[in-house]
Amino acid sequence: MNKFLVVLIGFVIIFSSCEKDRVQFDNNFSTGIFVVNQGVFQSGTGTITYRNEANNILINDLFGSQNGGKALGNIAQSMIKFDNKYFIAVNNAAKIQVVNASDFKIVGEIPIELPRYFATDGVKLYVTSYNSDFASGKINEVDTKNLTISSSINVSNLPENLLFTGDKLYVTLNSPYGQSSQNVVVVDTKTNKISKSISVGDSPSSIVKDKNGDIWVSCAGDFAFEPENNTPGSLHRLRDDEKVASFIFGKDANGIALSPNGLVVDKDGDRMYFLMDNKVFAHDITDSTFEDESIYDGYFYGINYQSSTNRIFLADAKDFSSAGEVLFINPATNATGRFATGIVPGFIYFEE
Amino acid sequence: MLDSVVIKGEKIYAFDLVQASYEKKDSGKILVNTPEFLQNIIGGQVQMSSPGGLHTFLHRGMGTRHLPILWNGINIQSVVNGTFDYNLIPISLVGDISFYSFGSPTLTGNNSLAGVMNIEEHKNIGKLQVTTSVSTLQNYMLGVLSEIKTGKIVHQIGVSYSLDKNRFSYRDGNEIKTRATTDFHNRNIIYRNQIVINPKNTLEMDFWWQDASRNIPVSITSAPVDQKQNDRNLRLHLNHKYYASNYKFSSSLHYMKEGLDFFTPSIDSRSEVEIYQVGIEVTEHKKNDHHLFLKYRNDIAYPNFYTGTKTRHTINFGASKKIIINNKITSQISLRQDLVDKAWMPTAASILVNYKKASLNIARNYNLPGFNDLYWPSGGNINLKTERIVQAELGSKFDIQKFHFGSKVYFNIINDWIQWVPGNNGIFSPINQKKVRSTGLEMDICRMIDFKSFKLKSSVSYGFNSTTALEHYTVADQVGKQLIYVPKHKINTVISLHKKQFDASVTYRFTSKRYDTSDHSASLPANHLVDMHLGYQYSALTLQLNVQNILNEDYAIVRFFPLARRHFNLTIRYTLI
Repeated sequence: MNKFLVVLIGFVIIFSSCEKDRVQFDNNFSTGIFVVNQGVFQSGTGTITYRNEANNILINDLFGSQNGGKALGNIAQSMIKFDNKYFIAVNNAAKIQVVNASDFKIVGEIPIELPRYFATDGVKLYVTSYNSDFASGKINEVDTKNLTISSSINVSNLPENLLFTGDKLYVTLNSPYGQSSQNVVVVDTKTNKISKSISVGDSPSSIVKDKNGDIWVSCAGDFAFEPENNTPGSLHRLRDDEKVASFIFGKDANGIALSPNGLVVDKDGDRMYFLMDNKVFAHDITDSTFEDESIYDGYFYGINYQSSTNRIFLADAKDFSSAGEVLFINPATNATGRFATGIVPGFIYFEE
Repeated sequence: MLDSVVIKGEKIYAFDLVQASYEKKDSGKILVNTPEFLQNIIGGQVQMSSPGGLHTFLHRGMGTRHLPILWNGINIQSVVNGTFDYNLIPISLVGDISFYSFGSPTLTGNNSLAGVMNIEEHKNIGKLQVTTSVSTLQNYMLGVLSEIKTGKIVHQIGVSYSLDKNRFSYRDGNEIKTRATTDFHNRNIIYRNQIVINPKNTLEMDFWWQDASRNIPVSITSAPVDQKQNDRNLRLHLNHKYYASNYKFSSSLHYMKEGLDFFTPSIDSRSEVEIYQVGIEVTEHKKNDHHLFLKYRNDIAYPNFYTGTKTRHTINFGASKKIIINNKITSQISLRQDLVDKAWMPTAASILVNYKKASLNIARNYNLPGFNDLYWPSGGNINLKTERIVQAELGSKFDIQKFHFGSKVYFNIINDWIQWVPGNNGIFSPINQKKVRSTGLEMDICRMIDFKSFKLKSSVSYGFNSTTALEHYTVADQVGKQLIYVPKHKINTVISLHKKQFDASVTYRFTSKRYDTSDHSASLPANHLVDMHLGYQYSALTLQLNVQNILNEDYAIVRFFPLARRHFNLTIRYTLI
């Protein structure tokens, strides 16, 4: 063979790369810490990071590993376990991916436009979704046996997080871009009809319940064309479906309105944590004013609280185009730790 | 002095002493689209998600905003987003497209950091040229170009229409699926004339109207979305030249109106930009030329996603001098100073030295942020600094026996590189993020063999590029890592055969792996593409059959946007002299 050709072929082989074979895991995934990674916007796929601390297992792209390298889909949003299956909302792929809880293998898919977040009382499963106009959406009940959407409630604005309490489902309605929403709607789950609408602050987003049964809603504030015109974020307390207290946040050092993101409550139900102004804030339910009580510095894209270990988990999306990280901190001891995730970790889920 | 009546293309002064790295005619084929031209440039790669989507070009690790596209001396990149979609060039209607890896940055614009692309007018096409092509991707094109001479006026008129459906199959796991149609309609009308008023005065006009619409494909990990883009461009150029004994005076006027609309069920984005430019140039022709220019450009943008009309006023003036020391050594020194919205920009300077067949270019230049960088709602950063570059290129050409060799080494340092990054609330905003160094080597070897009845030509080109952050102002551990989507190695080889009316060639192109995450946790594998070309010329008729991606390589430039497997294209051109 021509010497030149031999050199050329050798060169090409040296600089080529091969795809590594995927490893399939035999573990049982019914319990553990799951991180839903959104993936690169538009040109990526969401992934699931699995962490089992007891067995020191960390698997990035659990879904791909257990399903022959299949991509989960663009912008994985959130997940929940129901009836020994995990339901994963894959926003931009317009589907809920359903997998077996034990081996994470595909069971099926539920087509749904722009799914967001889930809530369950153990009997029924609900998921919010946006319409493609990004100005309205639906609160959907999932038929978990036939893997379909059994009924939907149309709402104005963008339904976001949900909270089940008794026969009531509280749903925050976020503001579409350039518009304003202040409402939390209450759905009667016996009839699947909206029974009440409660006005809180601009862009209601996260929702939790404290030890007294009071409901807390964090509102991100509305985003405007010019950031200096953003409206302030706020935190509201609801009792018996009435607003009984409000905390309005101020502005950051650049004069931009502060905007809280994520709201979780600790194991005792008397202290809440949320993200704002590149910090993690704490707020006691007994506080009558908002104290500047930041417990950790840094910009995080998601937050959750693990009651069994009394730890706050924080998703660090870094530059949104490289592998992220989850940091955890025990607010009582200040002990910290971390593990690597996929690209753009946004939602942390515990199954214990 | 001119007395003949032909549409005569004169090189823009900036390109007088520099040689193009690649020209349309170098391909030896009838090109059907501009990306086909770009893929032959060893120092860069076409950056696209999907056929029918935005096609840009990354050269020597630098981005699309660093590579101006000149049409009659004006940069036609969008002042709004800083890009230009190469899909939109109706290649059957334009004459030469020339790519300069270095060019003459002081004369070709503030952002010509990564070279410059020059679209040139057709010259001496004859009376009529009709080009048509059909592809198995369900892409169709018809272009008609005609030249009419009446007295002292030459008219060229061209119309083209293409419909690119870009339908192709791709592998998704064990399944073979088909991409959705792009229904990309591109309509163009061009008109040029040249009037020889008298032997000392000529008047030229160029007009280019374009209307394009298409569906923009989404990734295969996304649900189908009705995502449409419309481009409407109107470009007009008037030029008067006066030839005196040792001087040439040139005055020009440009007017452009550029429209770009983008729609999804939730987005109604409409952008209109008007651009006016007037300029005068004086060239003194003697042993050591002098060249002076003064231009004023006004960009007026009124997209519906800004809070109001945004404008930019640019005055640039510069001077250049050629120094011919002897028949072996020539040199050119240039300076340019820009005044943008009453603020002085960094002075651009360049020096070129040609010694026999070697050349050395050294320059400093800068790049202004685009309007979106400055004014994008909720993210624009009006405090952005300009990017600044210091760059050098050393090139040489020589022959050893029957082999022709060419080589270039280059070095670029860009300060205050602009990048969009997430800030508070996950909202992306541009910042001056890093100091980047781009270095590399490009080599080519060519051998032509003349047999009695046929000619054989073989060539191999190799490109190496290292583009890394020297300093990273926000994420220190990204220092030293190759920038995303930039391959370190590229190889192009062509073997072509020409016999009487027949010609044939086989092309092999290799692109090494490219990282697509900034921490190098993921990469796109290397790809190997083989194309074949068969051509036949009979009288006024030229027939061409291209087979692309013969090996059926499954590959992507952007993850989850698969590209076409093997496909065929038939082109016919009729030329009436």
